[in-house]
Amino acid sequence: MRVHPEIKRVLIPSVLGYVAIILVLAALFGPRVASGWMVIGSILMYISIAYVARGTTAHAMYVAERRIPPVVNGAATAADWMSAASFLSMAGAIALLGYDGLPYIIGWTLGYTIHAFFIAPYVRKSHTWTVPDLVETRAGGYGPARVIAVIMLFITSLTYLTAQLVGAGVVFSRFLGIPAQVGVFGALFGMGIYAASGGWKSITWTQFAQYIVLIVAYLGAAFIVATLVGIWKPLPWFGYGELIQALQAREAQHGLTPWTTPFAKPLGGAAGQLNWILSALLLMLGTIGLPHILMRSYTTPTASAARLSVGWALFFIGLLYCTAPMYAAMARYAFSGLWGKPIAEVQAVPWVAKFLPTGLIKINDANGDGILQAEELTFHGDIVVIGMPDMWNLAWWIAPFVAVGGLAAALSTADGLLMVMVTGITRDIYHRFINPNVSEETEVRITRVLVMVLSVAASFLAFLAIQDPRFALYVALLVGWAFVFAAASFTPAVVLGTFWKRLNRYGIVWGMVAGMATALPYVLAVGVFQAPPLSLFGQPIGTIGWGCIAFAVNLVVSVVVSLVTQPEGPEVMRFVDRMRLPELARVPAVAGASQEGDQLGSR
Amino acid sequence: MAAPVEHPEEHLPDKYKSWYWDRLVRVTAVFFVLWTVVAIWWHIPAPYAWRNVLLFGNMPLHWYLAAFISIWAGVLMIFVYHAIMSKVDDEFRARALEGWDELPEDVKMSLRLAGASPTGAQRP
Repeated sequence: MRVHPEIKRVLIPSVLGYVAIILVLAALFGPRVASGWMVIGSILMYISIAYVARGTTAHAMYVAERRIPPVVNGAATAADWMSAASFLSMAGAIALLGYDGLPYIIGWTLGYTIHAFFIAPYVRKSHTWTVPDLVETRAGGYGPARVIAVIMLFITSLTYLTAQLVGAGVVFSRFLGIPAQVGVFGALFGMGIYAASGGWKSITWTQFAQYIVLIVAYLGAAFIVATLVGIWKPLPWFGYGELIQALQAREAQHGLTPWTTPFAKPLGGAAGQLNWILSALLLMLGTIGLPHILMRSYTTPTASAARLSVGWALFFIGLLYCTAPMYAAMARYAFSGLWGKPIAEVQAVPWVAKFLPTGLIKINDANGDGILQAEELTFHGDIVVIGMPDMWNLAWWIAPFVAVGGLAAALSTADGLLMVMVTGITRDIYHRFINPNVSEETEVRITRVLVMVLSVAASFLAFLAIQDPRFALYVALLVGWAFVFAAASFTPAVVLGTFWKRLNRYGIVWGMVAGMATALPYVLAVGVFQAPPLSLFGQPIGTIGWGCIAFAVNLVVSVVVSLVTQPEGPEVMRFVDRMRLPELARVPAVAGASQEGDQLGSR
Repeated sequence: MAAPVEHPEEHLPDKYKSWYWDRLVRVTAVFFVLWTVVAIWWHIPAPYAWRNVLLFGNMPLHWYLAAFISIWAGVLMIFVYHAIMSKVDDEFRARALEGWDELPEDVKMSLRLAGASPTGAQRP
C-alpha cells in the first residue's frame, strides 16, 4: 500500500506533536485543559492531512483521481459510513432495546455484502462521476432523470448531514464546556476547510486517518473495560456470555423482562418478528442506495478494486459493530449493579453524580421508599459509549479520547455527505445544465465556495436542531428514514440498471417517484403524526420496515413502465455492457479520447 | 486502419460477453442465496429455537447470530466472491486474446496499444 509520502512527512510529526502538547498541558494545567486540546488538536491534525493531500483538478475533487488503493478506500468508506449515530448511539440503542435493537447491527453491515455483489464494480465500471450522472447515463441521457436523482440525493443527505453536525456539537460541548449551539460551528470549521481543500482526494485520506482514530478509541476503551470485567475468553467478543447471564439473573430478580428476549420492545413504532426482519432488510437495502456510499466506488483504480474495497470496508465496519453489543452488555451490567441500593448511595456514586445533571441519567423514586428500583433508573443511549470510561473509573484521558473518536466519526460522515451534495450542484446541475463549457479551474473554484456555503447552511440547521428539541426529534427520526428514502429511490434504479437491459428512462423516473410516494406519506403519518402502523400478515410494520414495501413498489413500477414503453437504444446497451464487463485492457495511447471520458464525464 | 476504442470490451463479439455474463450471474446468484441465509433466513428460527442454545461461554445463539456471526459471515462472503470473480475476469481476458483472429480490428488496435498480444493475456 503506497501512502502519500507527504502524509507520512506530516502525519508522524503531527501525531507526536499532538501527544506532546497533551502531556505538557496535562502537567501544567491539568486534565481539563488537556482534554480540550485533545479535541481541538485532532481537528488541526485532520486539516493538515487534507492540506497535504489536496487536489487541484476536477478529477481529484470529484473522484480522488481514481487512484485510492482498496484498503485505504475500504477504511475511508468505513469512516464515511460510521457516523456519530454508529459511534455514540448504536450501542445505546442495543442497551435499551436488547434483541430488538440488533436489526441495526445486521442491517447496517450486511448491506455491504450485496453492495459488493450488485453495485460497487458496476458503478466503477460505468466511468461516470456521480450517482445522478450514472442515473442519467443509464436513462439514455434523459435530463429529468438526473434532476430527480439530485432531488433524492438532497432529501437523503441534508438531514443526515445536519444530524452529524448535531453529534459533533454535542461532543464539543461535553469536552470544551461550550454550548452545543456554538460547538456545531466548530465542526463546520474543521469539515468545511478540509473538504474545500481538495474534495474527495483530501476527504479520502482524512477519512482514512479518522477511521484509525475512531476504531482505536472505540476498541481501546472496550478492551480496557473487558479486562476489568474479565471477559477475555479468549477474546472479549466471545467472552461476554457469562456477563449476559449475570445481567439477566439480576433482571429476573428485579422482575424485568430479560434483555435478550426477542420482540419485547418496539422498533420504528412496531414490535414483532416480521417488523424485525423487514427493518433489518430495509437498512441493508438503504445502505447500498446511499449516495455518499455509492460515491466511494468511483475512487478506486478498477472495478475489481472497488469490489475488494467493499470487503475491506465491511471488515473495518464489523470491528466496531460487533463490539457495540459488548459495550451495551457492559453498560447495562454497570447500571444493574445500582438496582436495589439506597438512592442516596447511588447518587453519591461518582459517575452517576457526574451524569445526573446532564440528564443522561435520571432517577425517580416513584414509590418513595428511598431504594432504587430497576424501573426508577433510566438512561440516555449516548451514555453507553461516552460514559463508559467513567462507569469503570478509567484514566482521565480515556474519556476525551473516546470523544475524539466520536468527533472523527461525525466529521468523516459529514464530509462525505457534504461532498455528494456539492457535487450534485456543481457537476450535476451547473456543469450539466447551466454552463457545460465551464473551465475546470472555474468548476473547482465554485466547488470550493459551495463547500463552505453548504457547510454554513448545514451548521445553521444543526444550530436550529439543538435550539428546538422538537426540530431535533424530527432530525433524529429523519436520519433513520434516510435509509427508507435511499432504498425507495436509488437502490432499485442502480441494481436494475445493471442487471436488466430492458429498464428504460421512464421506468427509472417513475420507479423512483412511485417509491418515494409510497415511503414519504407513511413515514410522515406514522413517524410524525403518530398514526397507528399498518399490519401485514397480522403484524404491525414500523416506518423503517415500510421501506421494504416502497422498495418493492419502485421495482414493480420500474418493470411495468419499462415494459409498456420504448426500450433504450444501442448507446445505452453499450453502456450497460461497459458496466457489466471487466476491463479488457488499459488503453493508454487512446488517452486523448479515453481520458476525455474519464476526465470530463462520460458524455 | 481501425482507430482504437476507449473500452474495447464493449466491442467484443457477443459470445464473449454472454459467456462472461452467464458466469457472473451464476456465481452471483449462488452468493446471493447464501447471503439471504446469513441476512434473513437463519434469523427466523433463531429467536425461538436457538434462544436457549448457549455457546462460547454461555452466549445465547440467537443473540450471537445477529451480533457477531452474520457480520463475519458477510465479510468472508465478499472476499471469497471477489477471489472467484477475479478468476472469472482473468479467464474472460484470456479467452478474448485466444480468439484474437475473430476480434474486431478496433479492439485489436486498442489491445496492441495496451501491450496485449495474441500470445498472452495481460492483466490490466
